[in-house]
Amino acid sequence: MPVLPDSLVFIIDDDASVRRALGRLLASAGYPFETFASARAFLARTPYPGPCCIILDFRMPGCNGLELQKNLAAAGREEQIIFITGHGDIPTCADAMKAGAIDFLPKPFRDGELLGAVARSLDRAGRLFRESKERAEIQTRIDRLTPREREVMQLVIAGKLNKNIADELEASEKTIKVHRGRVMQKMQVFSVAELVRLTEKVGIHPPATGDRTKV
Amino acid sequence: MTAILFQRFLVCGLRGIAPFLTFFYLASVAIAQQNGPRSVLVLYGEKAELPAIVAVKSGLDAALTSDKNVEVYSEFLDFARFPAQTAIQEFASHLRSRYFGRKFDLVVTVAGSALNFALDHRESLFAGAPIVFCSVDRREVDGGHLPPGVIGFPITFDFRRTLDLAFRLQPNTKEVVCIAGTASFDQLWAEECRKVLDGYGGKFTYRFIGTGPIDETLLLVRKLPADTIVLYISTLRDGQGRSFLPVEVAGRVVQQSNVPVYGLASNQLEQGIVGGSLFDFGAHGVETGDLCRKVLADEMLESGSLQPAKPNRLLLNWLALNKWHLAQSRIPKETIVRFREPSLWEEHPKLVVGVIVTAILGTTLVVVLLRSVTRLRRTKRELDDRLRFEQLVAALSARFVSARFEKVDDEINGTLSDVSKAMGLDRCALLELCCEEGDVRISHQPPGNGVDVTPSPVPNLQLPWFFRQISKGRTIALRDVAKDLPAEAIQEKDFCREFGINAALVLPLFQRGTAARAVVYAKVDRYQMWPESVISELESIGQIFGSALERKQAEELLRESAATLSLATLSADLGLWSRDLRTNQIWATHRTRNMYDFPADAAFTFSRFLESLHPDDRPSTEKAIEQAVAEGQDYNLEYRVIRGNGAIRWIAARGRVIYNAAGQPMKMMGASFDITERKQRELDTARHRLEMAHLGRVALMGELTASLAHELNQPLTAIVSNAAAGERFLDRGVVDLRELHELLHDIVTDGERAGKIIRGIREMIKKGEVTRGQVDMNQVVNDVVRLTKSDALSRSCTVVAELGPRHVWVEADPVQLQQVLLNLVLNSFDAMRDTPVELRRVVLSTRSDVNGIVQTGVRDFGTGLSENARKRIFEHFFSTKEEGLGMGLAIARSIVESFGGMLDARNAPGRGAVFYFVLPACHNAGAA
Repeated sequence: MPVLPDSLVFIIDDDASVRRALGRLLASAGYPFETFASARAFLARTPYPGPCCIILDFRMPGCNGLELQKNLAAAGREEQIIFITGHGDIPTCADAMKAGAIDFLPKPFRDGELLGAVARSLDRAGRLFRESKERAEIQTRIDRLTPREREVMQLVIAGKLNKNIADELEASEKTIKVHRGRVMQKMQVFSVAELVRLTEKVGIHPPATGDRTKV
Repeated sequence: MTAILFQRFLVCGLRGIAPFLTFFYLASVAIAQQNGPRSVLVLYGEKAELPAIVAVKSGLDAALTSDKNVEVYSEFLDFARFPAQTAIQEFASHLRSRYFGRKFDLVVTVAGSALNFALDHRESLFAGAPIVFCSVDRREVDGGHLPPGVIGFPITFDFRRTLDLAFRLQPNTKEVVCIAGTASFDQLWAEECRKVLDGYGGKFTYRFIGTGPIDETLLLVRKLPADTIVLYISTLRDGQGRSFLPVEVAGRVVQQSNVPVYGLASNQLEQGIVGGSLFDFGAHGVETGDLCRKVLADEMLESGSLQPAKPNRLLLNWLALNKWHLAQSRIPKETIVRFREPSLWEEHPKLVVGVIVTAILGTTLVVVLLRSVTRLRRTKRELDDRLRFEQLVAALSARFVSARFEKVDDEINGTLSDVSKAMGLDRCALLELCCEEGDVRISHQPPGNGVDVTPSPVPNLQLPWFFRQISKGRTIALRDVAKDLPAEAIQEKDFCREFGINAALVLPLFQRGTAARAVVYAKVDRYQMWPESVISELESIGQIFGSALERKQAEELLRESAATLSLATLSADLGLWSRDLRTNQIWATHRTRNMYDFPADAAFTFSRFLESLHPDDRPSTEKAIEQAVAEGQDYNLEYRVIRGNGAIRWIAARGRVIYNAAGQPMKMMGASFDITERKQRELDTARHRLEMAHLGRVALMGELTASLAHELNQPLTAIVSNAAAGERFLDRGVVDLRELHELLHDIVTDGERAGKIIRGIREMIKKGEVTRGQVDMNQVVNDVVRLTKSDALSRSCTVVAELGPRHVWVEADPVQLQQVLLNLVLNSFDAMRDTPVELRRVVLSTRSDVNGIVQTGVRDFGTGLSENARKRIFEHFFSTKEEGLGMGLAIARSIVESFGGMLDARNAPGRGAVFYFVLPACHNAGAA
């Protein structure tokens, strides 16, 4: 499976031998990686601006894996986590999975299992990373809009005609037409449908019909 | 063979020595001649038998030979009988040939004739030797014409003092009759005497007789008038030319004379003369001898010829004094009185005393005898009685001594019967009185007495007053029961009345506990005086009963205790033995022989005993016994004995050395005890403990499964990942050899790690014997920390080790110590189940202090121990956990204790509890 550029795998395990072995395994599969002996050591590293996943030993002295997962989620970080464990903690794996872990692998696992999980997680990480970037781009465009323009955009994605928008906003149709043009330009779209798509991506939805809402 | 050799040796020896001997002899002679023995020739003028010569000779010889260096040669000239010149010449020749070559240091002459001879032949015979003379008349040597080197003593007759003595004793003397013979000696002295007599100035008259025949002289003295005294001078020759010994003549004169006779020579005193100033020939000889010694020592070279002689002594004859009734009061003080007749007392004191004592005794005896004639008769009668009584007592004693233990009672009964008959009594019995109430039991009485012997107290019969007296040891003699019993002895009066007893004698025998035994003698319908003699006789008989009974009781006790002992040893299974250390023979009870599987009849020796032991135990047992004998200590051993059928029994034996009076070991005594069952139980207990420990370990392993699995998973994961990575590298053609090498190395290391863990598990669950060795407590702690890491994580606990110095050594089994620690740590996890996560810590610590104690602690921050839990926590089957078996801590404690340590728990400051155990340190700085 082609490795996405800029992806990175983090290995967090307190057993040195296991760290080394997993590192080699990843290297053999072409994944760049970094190893950490503890969760704390990992958190001290600045977050990686790219798709990455974490192979995380479920039980470690100090901050254990589940906690780390919670911390990261709370911080809004999107690293994908693969739990590995030597303890046979099957009952707790349900919690882990619910919290969004990619996989939960009891040691010893086959190399294919781990690498598959890594691929999946990086895949997802990549996707998420892309989506995030896209959203950020869209948001930048929206940030360039003036408030008036934003109001107009809001009503355009609702499918309203210029005449109706003018009435609603108590401006002339001509003004509205100008605004509309600028919105389309700033947003770098060529159709209303595209605009709607973009704004949906950043979570802006048209108001419900019949509602006279102020933007 | 040896005799011959000895002879040869002797002969050779002598031959060798002979020249030396000769030399020494000659040398000694030569030396002797120089300052060796002096040769002295004594020439006696008259024959040796003359009393005067004899006296002088004895004195002279004694004085001369007092010096051992003086050799005395005596020759007798016998001049009186051989006055002829030819005889003298012959005598000289005789001397010459006899003493040829001999040099005399001194010549002594006794009597004038000898002196003359010596002077004549001095040069020819004596080479000018010095001459000492004696026994010569002064006038013979007077005139000073003696050559130099000639000195000596003359005879001195002291007329003056003799006469003075005579006149003192007899002041009324009118005439002195002097007797002197015809010899020149006689006449010379007579002349002397005359001079002295003249000196008295006519107080008395005197005349001289003796120049006629001796018989005439003797006749004359028979009829002397009173107030006359006779003075005997000397009669060597009488008128008829016959020779006499003066001393003999003096004696005859004394016999014949009717008046006291005085003399001048000491040897006449015993003839009966009254006395005088008497010349003593013996003393004269001694004096002369002393002078000779001085001459020999060259001391007298400057002296004159005549030596002053000691004055004659005044001597008196007591018998003569008394014969002539001469007053004793007139005796001068300086007089020596001889022949004093001692009184009978003085002479035979012992005899006198003896006679007196005998007389007194005799008289006393007679008086006594006279007085006790009557008493004898009476005594004889008493003796007869006594004899009869003694015979009775002897017969009784004999009877009881030989009586068999079971027959004693019958014998007593029979004896009571005989005694009553012999003493003329009507009743007698042995009573046992008990307690204050005086319960009476009749223990013995003659058969057919009318009252039966009662085994138990006679109902309604109580004699408290008797009891009180008897228990104080007082004899009760009642002549008349009605009169002699005191008022308070009511029951006794009733008793006597009932049995018709008028007189009674109650004698205490002995007491045992609260019971007192007494013998009662009684007379019915008559009175009895009970005189002392009778009481004492009956007491004697009573004593026989008493001692027989005591003996019986003692034997009973002995039989009982022997039975008890036998029972005890039987039930205790003791085997008693005694070994004679000189002969090594062993005496042993049946049980002992049985124990060592030895037949009852064969001789049991020490070597045989050793053979019966298990070969593994034999050397140490033998050594221990020898050591015990050498040091005089008891020994206390356990060893195995192999019986004939091959069965093995454990025996515990204890022995002690017994010494004789000189402190030498004589024998060894002891007891053996079969402890096979106990030993078996010990072994079983030990095995049981091991099994329990094993089960505990297995259980622990069960609890640690997760941890162990985790421990194994780590290396396995690494191995698998490494290997897969390697494969992929090779597939991709990316071969970094160094990387590959490291990869493979890691695989090997992890494989070993996994193997070690598996081994550890196997160790823990192995049953195995306890292997003691040096164990580093720190190592054990680290292992336990590692083992429990996974479990700690799963329970969100942290395990921390706080270790003391680098190595902390104890002597124990590492697996079992690990077991103990694991148990404690897992318990700590459980204790912190409800503790906030951030507080969940377990601290393992080791500490070694100066006293050689190693303390290991497991501290948690959990709920701590309740008072109840603290007390009971180490009990078997006590658990605070729902699913707990409750064995872990009990096993842990027993393990620690088996290594000489102690395990306990207490609450820790703050929160939680600490479980700690101490073990003795193993002092070995070396590596494990």
